[in-house]
Amino acid sequence: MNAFKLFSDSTLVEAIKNKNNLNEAVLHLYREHAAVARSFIMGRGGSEQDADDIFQETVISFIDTVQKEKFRFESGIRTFLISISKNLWLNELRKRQRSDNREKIFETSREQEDAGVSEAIGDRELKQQLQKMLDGLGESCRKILILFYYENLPMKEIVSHLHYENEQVVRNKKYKCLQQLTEMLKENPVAAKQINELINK
Amino acid sequence: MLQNNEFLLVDYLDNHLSQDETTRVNTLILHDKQVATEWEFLKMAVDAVELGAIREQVMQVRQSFSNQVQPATGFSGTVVRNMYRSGLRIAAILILVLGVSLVYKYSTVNNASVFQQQFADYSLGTTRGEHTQNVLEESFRNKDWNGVTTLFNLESEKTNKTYFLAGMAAMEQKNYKTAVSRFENILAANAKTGDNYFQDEAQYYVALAYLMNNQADKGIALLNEIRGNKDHQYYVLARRISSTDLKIIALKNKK
Repeated sequence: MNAFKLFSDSTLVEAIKNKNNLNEAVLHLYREHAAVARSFIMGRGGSEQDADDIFQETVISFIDTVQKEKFRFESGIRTFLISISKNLWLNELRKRQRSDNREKIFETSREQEDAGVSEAIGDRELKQQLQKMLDGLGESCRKILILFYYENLPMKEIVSHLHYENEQVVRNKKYKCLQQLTEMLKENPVAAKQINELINK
Repeated sequence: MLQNNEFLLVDYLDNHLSQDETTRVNTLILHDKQVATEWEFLKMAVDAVELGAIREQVMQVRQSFSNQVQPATGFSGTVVRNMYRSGLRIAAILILVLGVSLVYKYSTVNNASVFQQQFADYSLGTTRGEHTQNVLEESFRNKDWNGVTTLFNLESEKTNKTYFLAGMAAMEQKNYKTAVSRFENILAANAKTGDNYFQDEAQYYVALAYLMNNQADKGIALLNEIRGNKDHQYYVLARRISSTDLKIIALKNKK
């Protein structure tokens, strides 16, 4: 018999925000909401793999939104997740078959999306590019940046975690990795365009 | 841009500046377009790191979730039939059934049966729109096990992830010796660096590979270790093996 941790909407958001029991929280999202999202996607031409991929992206967008403190409880978590999934899937379908008249059917079923949902989805192309660049950094760089900027571990702990000689070595390595990632961003047209637009606003 | 400014911005990002220095950087960002641009790129880099971390974590949970769901549905075919009519008959039949099932269980439970019950295809998470990013991963998704092996052998810089995918390809091809060696490579690398990248996956699947590679003692020990660790990603899956089954295979593997 397995005991699963139960979350209310507010305790779930707290757990995600504080990165406390995050695995349990994500598992809860899957257990409680994946089936509904899957049924929507698979009922609209998606395969099982599509449904799983879209729900994965949904959860990532939701966590990012919560951790950036942009989730404002304007709707319940389920409604919010399903709206993200629907919009991601409709965008994906549009991309796959722009000229197909099925698109018109999907368009009519598109719901009025709230501002929070479009913010959560953000620029998907840019997110994909960011992921690609991070993957291109290599394992040790990715790890060091994640431990410092996402896990917020102090240098001392990173030294013992990754078995570096001392804090200075980690600091130098972290600086080089960040610089490498920034250089990759500057060379990426999608990222550069976004920054350019932001600066020239 | 001066390298000094770059260092300054990184320290600003990391909250390592004094009040005065922070004010100075704020002013620079407001009035110097080049510094402002650099600052935006740094923030975007941190965004990329955060998104990457979230993605890694979600993909792990997705895998664990699908592993929990698959065997559960696989077991749903087991039906207990109502075949008892009276008290005495029940007792007699129960004893008979118990005896028969013990004999049956002992004769049918072996390394291969536990392996078949526990082995689930590994589903690799995807980043939509990046299908050409990694040919090896693409081959894995297409279940092209020979392709995965060839590409893995050609790779100059192997990572835990590619070792793991190549290990799973070997498992799918029933080449357990190779699978063991690839998974062990991950465990050894992690033990050296203190990392845990693909650690839980490698532990679980190497335990299964051991069962099929005449190293049952190691496999059973590792499965028991996973069964005792609630934080392990494969805890739920490993707990599905009954302790009786583990004892039976331990007994059978003793000389």
